[in-house]
Amino acid sequence: MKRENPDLYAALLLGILLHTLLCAQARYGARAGLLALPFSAAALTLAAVLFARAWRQLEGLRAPRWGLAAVLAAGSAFELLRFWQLIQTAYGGAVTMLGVCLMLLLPVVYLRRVSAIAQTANVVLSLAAVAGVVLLISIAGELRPANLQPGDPGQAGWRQALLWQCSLYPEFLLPALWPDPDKRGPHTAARLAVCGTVFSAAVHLILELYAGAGARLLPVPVHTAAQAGTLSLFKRLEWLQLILWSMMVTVKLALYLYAAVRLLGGRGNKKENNAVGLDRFPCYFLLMAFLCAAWRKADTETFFVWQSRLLWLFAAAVILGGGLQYLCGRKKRC
Amino acid sequence: MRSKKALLMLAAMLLLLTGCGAPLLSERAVVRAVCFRGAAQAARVSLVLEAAGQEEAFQTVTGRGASYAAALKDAERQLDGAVFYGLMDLALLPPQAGWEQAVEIGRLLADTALPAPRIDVFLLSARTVSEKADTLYAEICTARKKYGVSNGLQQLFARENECALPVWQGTEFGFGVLRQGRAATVWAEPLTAQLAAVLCGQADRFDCVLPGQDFSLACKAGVYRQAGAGGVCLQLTLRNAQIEALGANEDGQAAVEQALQHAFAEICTQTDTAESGLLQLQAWQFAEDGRTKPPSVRLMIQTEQE
Repeated sequence: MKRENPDLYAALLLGILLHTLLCAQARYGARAGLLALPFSAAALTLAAVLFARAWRQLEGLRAPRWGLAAVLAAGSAFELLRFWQLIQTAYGGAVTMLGVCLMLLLPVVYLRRVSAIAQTANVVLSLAAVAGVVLLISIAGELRPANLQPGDPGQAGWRQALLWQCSLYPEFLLPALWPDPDKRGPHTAARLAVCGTVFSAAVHLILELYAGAGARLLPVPVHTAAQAGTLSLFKRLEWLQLILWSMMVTVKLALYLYAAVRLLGGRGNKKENNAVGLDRFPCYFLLMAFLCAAWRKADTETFFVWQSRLLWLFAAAVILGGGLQYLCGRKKRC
Repeated sequence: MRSKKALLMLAAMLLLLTGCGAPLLSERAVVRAVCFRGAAQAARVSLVLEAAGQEEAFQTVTGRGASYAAALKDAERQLDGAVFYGLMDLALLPPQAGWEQAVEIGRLLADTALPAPRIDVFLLSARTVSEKADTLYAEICTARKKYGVSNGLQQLFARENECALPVWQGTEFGFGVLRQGRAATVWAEPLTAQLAAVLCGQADRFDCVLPGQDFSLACKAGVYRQAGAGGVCLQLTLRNAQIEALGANEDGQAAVEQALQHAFAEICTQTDTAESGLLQLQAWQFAEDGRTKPPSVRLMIQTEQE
């Protein structure tokens, strides 16, 4: 049973951590972030749990399934573009878009099995934890408590912290798609929400300790902090971070592909409960290549902001529709 | 047949994504330092480059433009644009640069000079502005090891509306504070400058002759901040202090403490310690009792011999 339905919690968590590392960084003050954390975690948990319950009522409908699949496809392309833009920013011209796409997409073939996604995600999560500790040790001398910004952040600061921490990522909604949903409780959503928001607040705290008020001005703050690390063993720690981030992106792409296949009708196929068919990959590669070429100059930050808003609307619509469906079903039974 | 067509289409699409390959590192000009001089409308930017296969260690390329960004681009253009900033470790700001100018240059470096590890940022003084950039780089590299001076580009932005930077004066460092809308404050006297650098966390030692030329002081230094209801106490620890008498006076310890207290008073007078984050007091006072302005600041000096 576990081989057919392995736990994908590590892969989901990696996707959320990646959002924090590559996108939503240095967006709010550390103090506001830490105090807003319980409210954000609660809101995200509630949204994910209600969505999972409502989805069971509506999963037979084609429109929500295709809509979510389209969001996942666009999200995959923008993950590729965001990583390529990071490489361009940090190492202008070192790797072409073709190189980035090949590096990130080809391993997805290996990760077509759900068990491979789960095992690889666990390994990458462990490596990320080790790398995070190494990074912290290497920049420990640069972290200054005096850089913390005292005082009341004000209404704008609180609002900024809540808005960014409450970003709804597809990873919060995907557990609703997995097989045997009755066997999964709300603890997965709660763990994801708590770990995601705690990580986001912790990264903001570290960046504020490192760069003070200027953390929001650095182009890629986490990467810049990694570059400043002078641990003798790894003089240039940013390569360690980049390798890890590329592995995290690959796991995320594999997860999105698996979820999209289930949404587009693969859920009825017992074989596709635990693997994406090889015949799906040519279309997948073509689609990613086309989207990357078409959106090469797009603003990835704006996309992910709109993705969060769209997913909140989508989740609200599904929750409302699922609730109505449930009530109508009860009325008929009565 | 269908899979072959799909593979052919895939190959054709991949060709569209093929971009220009990046030049090898050996084909790029490796920048070690960037020196900004001149003022608005007449900016000059000098790039100090590693001189591969030549007698001199470094060479300089200077660009000019109406702004620092334009001057930097002009300098890069002289190198055919193949510039590598990954080994850069020093940025020099023009003398009399204001806070606004420093932030403009800092943002330009943050956006342009990537990948770059830790970059130390220094101000030039008026007497060093005419020296060649590669000579300045060599002198400053030697001096910052001797005086233990180091800051990082992020220090330009760590506090809102002000920043503090070491000032290169030709043979030793001064220290300056740049604030938005106000004239810069620069301490040229070595002990005061080094005390300010230590209190700001940009230096970790003293190596100077005291005012009055009676004693020389060489030691490692550390600062510990303790906040209380009455204010913040800065505990300055001098480790393995070597105090050498240069005159008739033999009470070196007392002379050092007196000189440091005098320098501290001068620093507090010339910077508004309640408003300014120079001495990094606000966070400690806020953690103690929620106030962002410490009511008072005092310096306590202790020595340690290991």
